[in-house]
Amino acid sequence: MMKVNNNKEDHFIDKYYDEIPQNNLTSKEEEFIEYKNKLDHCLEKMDILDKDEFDLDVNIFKIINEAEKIKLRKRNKLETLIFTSLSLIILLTGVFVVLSFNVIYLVYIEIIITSLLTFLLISLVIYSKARGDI
Amino acid sequence: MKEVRSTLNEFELVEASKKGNKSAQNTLLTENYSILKGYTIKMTGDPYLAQDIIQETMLKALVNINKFTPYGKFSTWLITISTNVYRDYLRKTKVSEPLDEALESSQGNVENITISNIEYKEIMQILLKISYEKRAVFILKHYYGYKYEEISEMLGCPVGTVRSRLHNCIKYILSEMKEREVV
Repeated sequence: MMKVNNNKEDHFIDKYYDEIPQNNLTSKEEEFIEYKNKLDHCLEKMDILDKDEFDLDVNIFKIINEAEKIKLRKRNKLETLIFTSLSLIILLTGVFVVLSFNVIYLVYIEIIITSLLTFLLISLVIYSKARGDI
Repeated sequence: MKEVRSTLNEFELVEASKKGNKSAQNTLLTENYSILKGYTIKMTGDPYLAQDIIQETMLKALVNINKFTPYGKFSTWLITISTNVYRDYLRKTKVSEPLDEALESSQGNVENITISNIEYKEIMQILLKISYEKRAVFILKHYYGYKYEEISEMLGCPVGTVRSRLHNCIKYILSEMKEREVV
């Protein structure tokens, strides 16, 4: 059998797997055919791995439910984080206002927040309904 | 659970799955199960390990399904996740001993099974001696016929690397088969 050099061998492998045009390498066609036969002979042995005779115990329903639980846990964590951060911001703003200005401003701010929160909650409910969360 | 039939195409199934439709998720995973199973068994050479990797892959795919952009096939995405899960497994542990018990469950003529199992193990041993990166390239190219560009996207490496990994892998397989007198 002819000895094929390394670079040529790489090209032949590319051609074997249709990664270079068929009309390329025509001058080395004979060599390629010989190499292809060798590859065919060896690689068809590899096809034994294609037989599917293992019954694996994979429960897709269980995986779907598990994924659902993980997503819910992630969402709850995020919601708790957002809630805690917002509460902290509101509380710290109140403290800052009381210390820097007059206490009366705290009352004004509370009135503004309470009024705005109503509209915010309504918008959030509409958004959640549109997403199908509720 | 009522199964969403394949009247929905993959894009629609993915979109429905993103909205939390369990039936669509079930169909999507069931339709891609056999390719994932074949790939993972060939990668690991161990059906029990493959089972764990498949489960983790499916779980990760569902948890992160919102990150999936349907430019490519869902099976391609599953293979990428599966390769990453296997890579993480290899980093955490040393490579396990493949097969043996698993092959004993085959059906048919005892003599044929024995010959077939010996061949299977021999070939699997050759494949498992190759590093997992090269093995992944070979499996994706030889068994599933993916293009170099597709493999490069799946494994996150340049096309040139994919090409050279395949060349090295084929050369190794040829020499190993000759040495072991498999051919």
